[in-house]
Amino acid sequence: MKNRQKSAKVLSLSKLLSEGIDSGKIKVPILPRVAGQVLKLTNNADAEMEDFSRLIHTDQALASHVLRIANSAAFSRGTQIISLKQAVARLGMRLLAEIAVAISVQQQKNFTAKGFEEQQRLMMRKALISATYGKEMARTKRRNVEGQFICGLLHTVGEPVTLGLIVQIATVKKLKLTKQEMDSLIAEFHPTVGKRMTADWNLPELIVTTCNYYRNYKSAPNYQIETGMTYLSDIMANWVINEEGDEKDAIIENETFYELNFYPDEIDALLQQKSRVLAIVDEMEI
Amino acid sequence: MKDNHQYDLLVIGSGPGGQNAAIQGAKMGKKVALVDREMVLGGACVHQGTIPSKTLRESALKLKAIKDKAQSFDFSLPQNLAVETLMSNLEKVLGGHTEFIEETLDHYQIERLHGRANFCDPHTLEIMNPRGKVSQASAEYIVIATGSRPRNPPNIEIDHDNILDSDSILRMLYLPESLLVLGGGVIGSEYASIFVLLGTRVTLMDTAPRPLMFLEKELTDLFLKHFQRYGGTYIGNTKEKRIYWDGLSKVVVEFDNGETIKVEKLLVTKGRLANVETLGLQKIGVHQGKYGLVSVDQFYRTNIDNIYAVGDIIGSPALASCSMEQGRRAVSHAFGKPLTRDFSIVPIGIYSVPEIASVGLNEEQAKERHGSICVGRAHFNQVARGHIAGIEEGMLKLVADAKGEELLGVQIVCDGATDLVHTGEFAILNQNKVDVFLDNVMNFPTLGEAYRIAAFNLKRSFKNEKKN
Repeated sequence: MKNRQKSAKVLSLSKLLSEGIDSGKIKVPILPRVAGQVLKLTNNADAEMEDFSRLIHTDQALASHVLRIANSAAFSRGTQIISLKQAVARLGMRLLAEIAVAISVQQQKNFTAKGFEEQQRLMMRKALISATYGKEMARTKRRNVEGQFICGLLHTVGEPVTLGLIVQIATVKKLKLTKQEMDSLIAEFHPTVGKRMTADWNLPELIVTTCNYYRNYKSAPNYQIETGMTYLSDIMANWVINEEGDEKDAIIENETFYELNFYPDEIDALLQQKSRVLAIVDEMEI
Repeated sequence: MKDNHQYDLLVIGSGPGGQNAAIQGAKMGKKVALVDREMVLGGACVHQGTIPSKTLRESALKLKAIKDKAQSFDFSLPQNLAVETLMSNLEKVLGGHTEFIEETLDHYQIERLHGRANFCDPHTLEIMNPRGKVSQASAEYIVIATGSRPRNPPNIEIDHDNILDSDSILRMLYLPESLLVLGGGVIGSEYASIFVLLGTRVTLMDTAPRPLMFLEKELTDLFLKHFQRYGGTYIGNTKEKRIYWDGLSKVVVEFDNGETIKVEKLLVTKGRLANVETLGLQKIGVHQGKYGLVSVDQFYRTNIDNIYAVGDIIGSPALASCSMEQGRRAVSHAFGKPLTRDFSIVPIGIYSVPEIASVGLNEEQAKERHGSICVGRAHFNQVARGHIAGIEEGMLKLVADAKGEELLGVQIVCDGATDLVHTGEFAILNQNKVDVFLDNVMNFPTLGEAYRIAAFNLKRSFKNEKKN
């Protein structure tokens, strides 16, 4: 009986989520924690561009917004903004702060993830680990380091959005979800949400491709190596963040490493960087 | 028990030298295998350096042509343009070239072995693929053609993000607003002249008083004049003291003279290193020199009789064109095929903007070897085709013996110089007299007319010299 009730609850939420996605009203919320940080920075006369840059680099929702706005007709001056560093330089600190605050104010009133704060924090942390590992992989293969960081940071951008949407709907419908139920709904919907968002927001093709194809990089119409590396950085992030994630041996055996021509010593060197990556992430995390 | 495959010839490295060595072996009826650590064939020449950089260069040239021909328009590329848009046909170029290499290897039935090679003994290689699976291959002769990679100086932390080398520069996401190129050699000068045309504020820096020090000052002055006209800055006689990223958007370079420069990106071009570390050369006693370069004799044979080495791993001139010929010659020698002639006349091509090319002796070398000499010059503003094509800057110089007869060398600075130099190369190879440019018909109007003008100039200077 209990299982049947759970199923009905999940099914109901699933239906509502599908409708929400189909109606195209998906919005990426800025996490209250980050919004607070943005406000704090804008009120601080000593705040520097570096603080904003760091903040943006640590938050995938804010990063997506900044890229989207930097690429909008009002700011792009006909040139596509591809990297966060470029966006920060283009928009400037003052404008960036206004944008960040405007977004956070808009989103805050509709967004709560009460009861799932830890899950939310882990999502952010995983994205950051993935981004940092992506950088290390790109360095190993002398590919674009900055681009791989963004791919790692944003490839699962659909996850926190889906979490936010579920929490919103569940609150309105007065439904209580367990962690397992939440996980299954996120797993079901985040790829669609991510795909929809990256398309709607007109994010750079590199990010759209890695978001859509990172689980199956060989199908990517372009950026196959970047997409494959994003998949690997996701695997590495799972391993780092989740005790139950892929074991070290399973990572070493992962076919994609060989397909991308990573040799055993290179994989080993990446695995050895776990504590360094964590130290960087700890430093960047707010 | 490891698999052990037997061949007549094993070639390590699939760049220009390796490919030609393998093909020469196959042409001689030998059973050949080509080993490469990368999945794609072609080596750094195809995938990291020569071809990608020339693709970007073509975009720079097109932009230059637009700028030169439409001076009334204030034309410039948008800031922060994605670099990949300037290399949009690169995938096609690389795909086409790789396919051609694969077809050629298939045609000659050259087997491909994917993995890192390591010598077990002078005739046997252990090859480990990315899965860690190890196999063995043996051959009567082995040619090493593993190429080179950018040298990272110990005092500079290259992060491939803000501080780049000549591999990672082409992976940049967007065109930087400012770029400092550290090192005024061939690669540094090429990239500096390309990015300045694309609208980046470029500073080229070296400890030497001028870039490309191995060339005559007359040639580098022309290069610098062009570079500076498009907004480039050269800083000579200066050494970097400290280089770091400011944590946000700029790379800070502190010089030994107390000055500081802040740039968006820094490109380090301070030489290249031979890819020899994983080969296990010391284990089998192959002699290596400075920077790990493999020592070879005039037949490209190492001190181990059956092992040859060609291309960048033996050092200068480290040109793709030379590596090809070295590969062919090494294998011909190994299997006893007589070589037709000496391999001393090698054209040098620098794909800067404008191009610089040289073959034979320059003025200084000719004076050293022959004492008195004659020199003739043609400036491209004297050449009709130069006017038509907008190539008015630049020069072609002929160097001849004291009688003004024997052609000793040719130096050229202009767009198209790397092609144009071949006329001079073949004149030298065929031991033609300078008169060959005066007594024969050349198409008109062509840039080749510069040879005729320079020959006239040389004859005139010889007569004047005689009168005096």
